[in-house]
Amino acid sequence: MLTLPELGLYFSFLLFLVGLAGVMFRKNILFMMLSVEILLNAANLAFVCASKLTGTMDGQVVMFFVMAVAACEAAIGLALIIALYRTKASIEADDLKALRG
Amino acid sequence: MNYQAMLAAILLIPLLGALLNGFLLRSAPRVVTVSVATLAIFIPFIFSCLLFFGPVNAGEVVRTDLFNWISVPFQGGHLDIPFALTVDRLSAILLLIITGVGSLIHLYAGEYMSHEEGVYRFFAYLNLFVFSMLSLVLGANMVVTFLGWEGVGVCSYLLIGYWYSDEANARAGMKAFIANRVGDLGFLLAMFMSVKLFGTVDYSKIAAALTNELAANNAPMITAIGLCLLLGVTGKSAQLPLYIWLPDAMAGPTPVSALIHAATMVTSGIYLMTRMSFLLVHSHTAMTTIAVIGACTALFAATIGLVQNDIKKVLAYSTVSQLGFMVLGCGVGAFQFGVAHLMTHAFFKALLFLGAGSVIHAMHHEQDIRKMGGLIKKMPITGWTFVIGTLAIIGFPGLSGFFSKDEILYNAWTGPFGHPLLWALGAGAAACTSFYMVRLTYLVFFGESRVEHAHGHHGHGHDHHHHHEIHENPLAMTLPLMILALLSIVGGYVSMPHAIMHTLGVHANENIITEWLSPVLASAKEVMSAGHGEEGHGSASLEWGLMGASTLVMLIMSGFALSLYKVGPKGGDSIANAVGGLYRLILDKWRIDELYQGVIIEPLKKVGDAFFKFGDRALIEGIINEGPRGIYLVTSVLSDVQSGLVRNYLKVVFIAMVALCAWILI
Repeated sequence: MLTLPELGLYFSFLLFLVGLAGVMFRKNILFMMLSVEILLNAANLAFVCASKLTGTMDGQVVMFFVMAVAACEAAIGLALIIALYRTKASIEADDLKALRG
Repeated sequence: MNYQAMLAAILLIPLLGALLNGFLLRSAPRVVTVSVATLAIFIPFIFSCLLFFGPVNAGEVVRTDLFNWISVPFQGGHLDIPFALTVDRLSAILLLIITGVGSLIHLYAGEYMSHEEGVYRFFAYLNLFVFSMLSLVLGANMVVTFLGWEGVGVCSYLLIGYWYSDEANARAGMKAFIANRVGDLGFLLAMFMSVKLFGTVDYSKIAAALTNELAANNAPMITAIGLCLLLGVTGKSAQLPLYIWLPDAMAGPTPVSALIHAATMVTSGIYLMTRMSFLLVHSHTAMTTIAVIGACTALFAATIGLVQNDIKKVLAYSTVSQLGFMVLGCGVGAFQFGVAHLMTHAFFKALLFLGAGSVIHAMHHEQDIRKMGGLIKKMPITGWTFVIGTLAIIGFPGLSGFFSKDEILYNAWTGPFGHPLLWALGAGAAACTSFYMVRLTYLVFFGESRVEHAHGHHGHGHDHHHHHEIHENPLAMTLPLMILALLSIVGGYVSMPHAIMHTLGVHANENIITEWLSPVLASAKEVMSAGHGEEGHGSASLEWGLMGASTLVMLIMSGFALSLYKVGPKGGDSIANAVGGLYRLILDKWRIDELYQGVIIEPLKKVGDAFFKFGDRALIEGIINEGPRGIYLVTSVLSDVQSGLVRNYLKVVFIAMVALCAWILI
């Protein structure tokens, strides 16, 4: 019988796959952003569960850092998306390929 | 002021004038430009006179080394070529001609170019030309001479194409430059061979090094140097086969034709041959070739002059022909008379060209002698000085051309390398000269005026010019004419034939020019008399006979021309019709230009095209264009990986991550 932290780890793995699929297959940058949030939360969940399993506080401390970074990332990312929409009138990722070789 | 500094000043003042006019005084008033240019030639003229009557007259050679120009390791030692100037009796004569006739022509040009805008360019070029010409004659070694040799070529090119907006003028300039380049190659090769043979390019050192043993041991080399020099001479002095540029060079302003293409530049070949006479006389082949080319050119160009209708073209072919006489004189070993004829020719041909320019100026750029006639009443000074020039060139007894030409013809028969056949060619050329010069003078200055008649069907838009009365030009143009006319009369007495000298009771062994140039020509004389005994002197009766023959020919041909053209320019038509084909052939200048076009220029163009197609297009452009294209093809495959799509990058990251995990776990 799986303990709760172990279950949480497996769940965080599934959550990570969902986020990864979202980033890889979504074409709308807004949804890609949301998927990135899911990825970060999957990581957070893994940290917390790992912390519980090992009995140390390290994972939980890292989780707070990640949450702070995620908040910043969301603010900057959304600002970029708005700026992008103003210039390109589109937030489709496939429209943005100026760096093509 | 010592003589060394004076010598340097003679060379540098014209350069200074050119720089002033070319850069600083561009927007100066016309009178400043003209004064600067003329003074830049006149001051050296004064210095030249001081040198001429001072040390040079006393038999000294003034030499000054300005700086060490070229210094290279050579055959274990050092080959040092200083920028050295020297003036001896030969270059002193040239110096007086260049600066003296040059100042007169500058004075004249100031007036002649008075209707032109931006004459600073013209006078800067003209001064630069004089600088180059002076370094040509003053150079103490072949390299300094070569500098001047190239410089006069460049200035000639610039001045022929002075009115460059007309494409024909620009083409004439290029033609002159290219024909000269062919000749320059000869000079260069001669210079290289002198370095190889003597280890020096200094004239005096070569002369000292060239002993009879050395000449005998290196006979083929000496002949090669002589023939290469001759190639240079044919280019610069417009001899067969490179003479073609000179008639076209008449596209330049007339003072240029007088200074460059009659009095100075074209005679540099004669100067060079006289300078190198001590070497040339060692090669019988070279001397004979020189003489034959000179004689053939004299006759050939004279025949073309017979039928030309452009006043300057007649004079141009006449110049080629007279240069042929000078080359003939050098070729038969009478270098001093080549130089004498150079001098008298500088006087009377400059006079004739300036006279022609005076006519052209008064007629507002009309050059066709069929549209002139009777001008002597309207332009008496130009007319009578032109007549003097004509009498001088055809060798009327007592005028300068008679003495110098006669001495050349006499030596063509009796000289060390002479032959009666050479005399016959020369006499034929002299006969033609009499005919075309009398024809020219008569059609321009005498007979009925055909000027008004010309207006009718000569419908230019700016015809109001033509309605001005034709009148004599101002003193700035007529003064040079009068001075040159005086010189054309008296200039020949320096080369008075022995027979006349003895009759007049002059007690001298040699005439003035022979005496004067004897230090320069001493070693050449020695070689020639050693090889040919004393046959260099013919008898007095032969001298009288040849003189009489050429005078008679001159009188007959002049009378013939007068009787033909008494009725106007159509007077020659009956003869022209009788020999129709030949007449048209000569009118087309023997179609030599067409021959060169077909035989040399077109094949060269084809070769050039082939090189362009295979060398330039296929090879060079192939490497330059196809190489990068290949690299591009390879890299474009790689650059496709960088699609610019974020999701693709993420896929790569994902795959890499999975692979990394798999690698760590397994």
